[in-house]
Amino acid sequence: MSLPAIDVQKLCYTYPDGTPALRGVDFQVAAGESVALLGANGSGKTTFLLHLAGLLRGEGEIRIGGVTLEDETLGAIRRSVGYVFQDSDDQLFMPTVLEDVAFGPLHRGVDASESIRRARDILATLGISHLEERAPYHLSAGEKKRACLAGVLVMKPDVLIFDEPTTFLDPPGQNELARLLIELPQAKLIATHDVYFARKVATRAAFFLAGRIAGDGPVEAIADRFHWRLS
Amino acid sequence: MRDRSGKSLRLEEWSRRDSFLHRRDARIKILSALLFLVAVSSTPPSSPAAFVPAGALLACGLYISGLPPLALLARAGVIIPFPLFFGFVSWMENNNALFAGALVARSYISALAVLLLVGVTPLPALFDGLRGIGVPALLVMVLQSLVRYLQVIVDHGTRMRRAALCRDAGVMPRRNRQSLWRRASGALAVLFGRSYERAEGVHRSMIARGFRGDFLSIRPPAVTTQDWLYLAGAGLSILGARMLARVSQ
Repeated sequence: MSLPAIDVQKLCYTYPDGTPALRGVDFQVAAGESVALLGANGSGKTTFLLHLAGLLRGEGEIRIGGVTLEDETLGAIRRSVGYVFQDSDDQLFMPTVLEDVAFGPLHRGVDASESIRRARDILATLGISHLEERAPYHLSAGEKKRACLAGVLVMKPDVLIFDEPTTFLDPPGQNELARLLIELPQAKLIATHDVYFARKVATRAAFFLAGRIAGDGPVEAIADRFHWRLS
Repeated sequence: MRDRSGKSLRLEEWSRRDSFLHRRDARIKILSALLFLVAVSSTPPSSPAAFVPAGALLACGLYISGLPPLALLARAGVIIPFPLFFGFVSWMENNNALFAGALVARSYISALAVLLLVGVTPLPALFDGLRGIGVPALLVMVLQSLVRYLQVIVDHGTRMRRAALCRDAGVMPRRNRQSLWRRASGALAVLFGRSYERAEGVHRSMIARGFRGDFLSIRPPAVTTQDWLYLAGAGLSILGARMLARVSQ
């Protein structure tokens, strides 16, 4: 039996101001599985996701692809986890799209020409080659989101994390993103408020409530159980 | 409504144009700019004509760069109040108008030269160039972070200004300055709070993608024969201008 892509045991985290954010989260995602994280604002979804990329460190155990997250493995874990942030403007910080997409490989030791080649390949795959010399702040929300995705996919991660990926996207943009996500073979963890989007891209959902996972199962069942739909 | 963020963005757009100066290696451009600054700062305040050769050289640079001269001249003018103040103080103390005028001329020409350098060199190349000429990596990183965070602040400031204008629409009477200052200081606190959050987000994203405290560039600098020829030409012209300034005494 293959190792789970993500294995979290008893994860707890309290913010420096004393606000408890995670209260003993146990959670697993199989290789290639897509899981939606549902739950109210402030329920701990983003805090949980930041832990998986080693951007926050709490108590408990996190294993990514069988590797335990600790100081010595932090670099390797970050190489295998691709994180698409909620706000694209946080993620796009280089002067051009090409430079931004090439940032990851370049800073992981790949030489400049190979980084450019990889960046161009992924931009072509996502159909945004024409944006490569554009400044990120001039792009539309959908284009920014795809540029962010390119910046993450170019690093060939084993696990993909999406924090509210549909924020600022119009319905065609959301459809396009869903289509792209479905085609990706990696294990995916998608924090979202949009049950329809979750149903499209994930087979399973976990519901966060006050820093704990209160429910885990098929997307429809979880949405029904927690009344997580527009009435 | 005018978008104030446009100014910094325009400078960045200019730096991505194409001209003889744009194509030169960043290190060569920085070295020639440094040489120019040293020549200007060492020009004695002997007569008002002393700065004409340096100004003429700068005008040539502006022409070759293809950048809009009036816009650059206006931007460089931002620094004028500072040397003007110190020049005025110096004039009052020493009763030497020539010295005061030289202070203003030096500062303005230097600011214009730096703007020209930034206008023909994309920021990543500029930072690579600074590293390339031996500026400590830590200092370059601080500069890079400063520029990035300034962009963040400008970005947030623009959005907040838009939001304020949408709700205020200039109806607030101008004479109520106390209230205006109170609002401005509150907005400034919010601006820094939000900018800090954004900066934190950007930093997280950089770390998640392998950033280890050192910016790398996909465009490794390479000095060509043309670059060396440019440096030689620029160096000789700057020396020539400096000699002319001496002759004008």
